[in-house]
Amino acid sequence: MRFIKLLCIALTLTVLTGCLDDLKSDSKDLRTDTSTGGENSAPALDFMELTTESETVQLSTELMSNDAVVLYYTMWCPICDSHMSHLRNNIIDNYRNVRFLIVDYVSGTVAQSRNSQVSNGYASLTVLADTDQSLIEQFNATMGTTVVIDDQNKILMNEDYKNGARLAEVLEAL
Amino acid sequence: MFKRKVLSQVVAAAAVSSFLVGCGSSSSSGSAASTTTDIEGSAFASYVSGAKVMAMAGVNEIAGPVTTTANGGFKLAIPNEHLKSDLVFKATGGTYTDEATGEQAASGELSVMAGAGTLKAGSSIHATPSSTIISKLMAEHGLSKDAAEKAFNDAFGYLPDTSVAPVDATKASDAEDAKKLAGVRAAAFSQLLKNLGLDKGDHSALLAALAEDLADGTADGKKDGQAVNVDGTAGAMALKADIANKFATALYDFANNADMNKSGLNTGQVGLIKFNTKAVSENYTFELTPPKMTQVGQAVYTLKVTNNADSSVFANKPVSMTPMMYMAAGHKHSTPNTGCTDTNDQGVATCTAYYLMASAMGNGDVMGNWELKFSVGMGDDKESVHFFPKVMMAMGDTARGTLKGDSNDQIAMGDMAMSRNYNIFNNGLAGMGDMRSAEFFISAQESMMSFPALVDGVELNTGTAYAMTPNNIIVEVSTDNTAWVKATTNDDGLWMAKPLAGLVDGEEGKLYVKLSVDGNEKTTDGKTAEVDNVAAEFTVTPGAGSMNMSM
Repeated sequence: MRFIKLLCIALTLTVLTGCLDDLKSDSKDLRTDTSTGGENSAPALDFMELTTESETVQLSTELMSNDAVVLYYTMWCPICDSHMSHLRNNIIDNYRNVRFLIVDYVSGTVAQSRNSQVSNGYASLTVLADTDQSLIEQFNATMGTTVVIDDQNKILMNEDYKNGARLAEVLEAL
Repeated sequence: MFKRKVLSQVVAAAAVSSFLVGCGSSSSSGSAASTTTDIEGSAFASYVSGAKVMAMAGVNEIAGPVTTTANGGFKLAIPNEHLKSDLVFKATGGTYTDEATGEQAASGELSVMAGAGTLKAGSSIHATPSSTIISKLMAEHGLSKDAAEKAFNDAFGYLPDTSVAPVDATKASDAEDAKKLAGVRAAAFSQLLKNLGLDKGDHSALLAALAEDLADGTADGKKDGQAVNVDGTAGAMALKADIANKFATALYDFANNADMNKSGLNTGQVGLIKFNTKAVSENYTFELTPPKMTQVGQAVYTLKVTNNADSSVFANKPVSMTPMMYMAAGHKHSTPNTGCTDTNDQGVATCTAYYLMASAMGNGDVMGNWELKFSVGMGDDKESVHFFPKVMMAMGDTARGTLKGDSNDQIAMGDMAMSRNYNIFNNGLAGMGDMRSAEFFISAQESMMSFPALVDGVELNTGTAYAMTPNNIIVEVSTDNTAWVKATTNDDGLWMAKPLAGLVDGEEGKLYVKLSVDGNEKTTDGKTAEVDNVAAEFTVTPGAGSMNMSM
């Protein structure tokens, strides 16, 4: 009888624990978001994308010959233009060993993306045509998002461009 | 005694166990042994508390009534045999907090139609103002589901997802965006009541009137040619001919009101606001005719203005136009435009905008909403209306090129300085053979809100550190990037280059445009002029592109 009593209590506790697991006040967020950078972020996953000139760019390849890769997400709006203009005139030339890539996630086709690139005056930059929006999803990005990945695949930054100061600070510390 | 004590402990533990085993699984009366299926949902104007909800199959009440909770929630046990039929869930009475006024309001009737076979155990369904109009179109006006949804979508630009539970748009929440959007759209009907000068208690009367108006397939304030009235508490008020645009404006007004809209969705995140072509202010009716296709680049509108009092034309008067983009990302900006001409003898003005960006991505996702605000009159007599054009990405010929100022030609952008943009819009080709002409409009950016035409002698960024008065503007155009033709202007931002040789009908060619201001060549990258950065490049196909003009 003592055995039955203990068994019932044990069963009760087991069920109770199972039910309330998500409600414990000390529960930790067990998500492993690899997209947003920071000290505890997982390494950036490799990706391969077509440029607007139909060349293939692969993250791992770029990181073999550069200190870092910078992604800037554009929708070819005037706000994006102000960021990209600032990026080109004040940042890019200062970091010769960093690969700067513009991500167009809005145009839908490589040809349309190239058209937008030229119309907006950025023919000289490398633009990735993220036609399936996989790069938007991979880095949980949106308009103006700027991502820095170092040569150890670590995401050093994933945030809005704002005035470029934070980007310069991150690149300076490479 | 001992046995009884142990037995009682066993029974208690077993009871607790059996209770807890159920924890986490949903209860359903829709099991094989059950004859009914539980369907949950809500009545939402905002949250309608205390409404009586019943389910109906045709005219037969098959479940309920039950009373909604504080959040408008209800659960009805639907006899399984009725799940194969069209069902209407009808909520009557109750109270809610009117979003536009923040005041308590009595709810009349909200309803939602569930198609035959669409509900099963675990389904939910939500009665909103939108679903009520569609439901009424079907139940009271005899439209098919497809016809009712088409009429609604044509008028308001969206279809409600009745499985999505709306949340109160006047409160911050961490709900998913679809729930917030459903809440904002419901709030827009409250805003519409307010904008129309109706009482919050006229909510149901307004929904009934909108359904009656839409019964002939068109939202024009009439049903089969007869005026539709809102039979509200303050008497009857006829719906105006621009009722669809009134809703679009109400949606815009609510979304754009940060004091009321706490949903977290901004004006650029409420879906594409429907573009309607008629808007009525207190004294004037505005009818806007857009170009065949509105895309990034030049868009020429004709705007007819008439007086409401006697339908006479509003002739030979000034009209102003203000374009604004509300981006989903939360920013807003204007776009280059030349405004409107004065209305002519027929009350018609020509208004031209040069769109910098599209409303939607290639996959249809919304990037933001364009608003065109038109105004007539001055001071206290000024009256304004809003239109919300959908702008597509540029297709075919290059619509726009950009040249940029160097380090001595900058503008402020927040706490940054950036190269001034000279946006060059391709207004199209005219002529034949080697005697073609090309027209361009060139604007000079001052800020995100100001893109005036680049005109000799007209100062830019007046009163700022970036002030500049261009005194010698030279625009040159080439078809081969070698031989250049100087363009001429009437100091209105429009530049005409001719003759241009080397383009062939039906074949893709190039136009290159150079811009020099006071001896400084503007470049594609804002850097010092070099051989390969001094011209904006346009791809054109004479005789085939939509922008070819007949001049």
